[in-house]
Amino acid sequence: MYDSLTFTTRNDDMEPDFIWACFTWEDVYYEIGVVLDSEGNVDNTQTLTKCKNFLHYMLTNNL
Amino acid sequence: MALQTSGQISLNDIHVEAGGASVSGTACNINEADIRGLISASSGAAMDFADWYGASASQDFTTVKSGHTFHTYTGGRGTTQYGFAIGFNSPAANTGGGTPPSGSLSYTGDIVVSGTTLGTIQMMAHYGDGNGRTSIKFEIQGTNTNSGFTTINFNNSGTNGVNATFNRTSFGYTYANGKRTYLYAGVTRFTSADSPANTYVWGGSGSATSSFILGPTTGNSNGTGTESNFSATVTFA
Repeated sequence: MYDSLTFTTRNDDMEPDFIWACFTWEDVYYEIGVVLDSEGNVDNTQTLTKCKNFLHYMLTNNL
Repeated sequence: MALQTSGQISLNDIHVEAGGASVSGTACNINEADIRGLISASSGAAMDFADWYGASASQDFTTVKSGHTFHTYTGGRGTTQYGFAIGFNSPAANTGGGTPPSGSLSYTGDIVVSGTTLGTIQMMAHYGDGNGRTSIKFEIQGTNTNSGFTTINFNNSGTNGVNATFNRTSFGYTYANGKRTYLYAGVTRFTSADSPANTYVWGGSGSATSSFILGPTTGNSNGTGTESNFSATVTFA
């Protein structure tokens, strides 16, 4: 589900150490904090899963 | 952050409070709208630097009145279950029925934090998803900018002991049609220390969530209405 979802990242304006994962789905823009690995790098696989979970939660709960 | 409440205070201190750190050291005068706006002074009015003691650019809206729905419905195995939702225009209680409640906010203007305008609040809700999880959701009518505040505090300590602060970065963010939506989702439950005695049970099977942040303390009955028996403050900073 949501196989075509991809994300980009950006650093927060006010808290530059915080990284957002950003994506658009059906004309709605989303941001959710990325998942970092043990070395502090963005874990792309885990972050993509988090994005999909967030999107699924929003859609299934009509939010 | 509010200005100090005593001691020496400079025009630059006031300017930074009104306009944010980026204006530090830049030219200004005491009659500028944002500076006198901190103390709600009209243009040309007589002002004393002591007038700015404790002044803050943060706009708090207080004594929020929320709506609610409370209803019964037939659940699994024919049991009678109870649905409850509360918040400012919060979502419908659940699939069991219920009209999304509506209420009123005591502050309906733009929320301005340290000189940054966030927009107007369209919704402020705390509710359960029926799976034993609670969520906090609020919506701001404004531009697509996930910025402008660092934390949001929900304080209902006067009635049920809740005083919880959340970082903006702990929320998920969405934007569509001029509306910024923040969602703190999937919380199992707040700590017991935050949980008041009069929490509201979501469903009858033990999957309880509570609506305490903007919730009333007493007086609910079947139907939909606007609360009159509670108060809470929500503060952006």
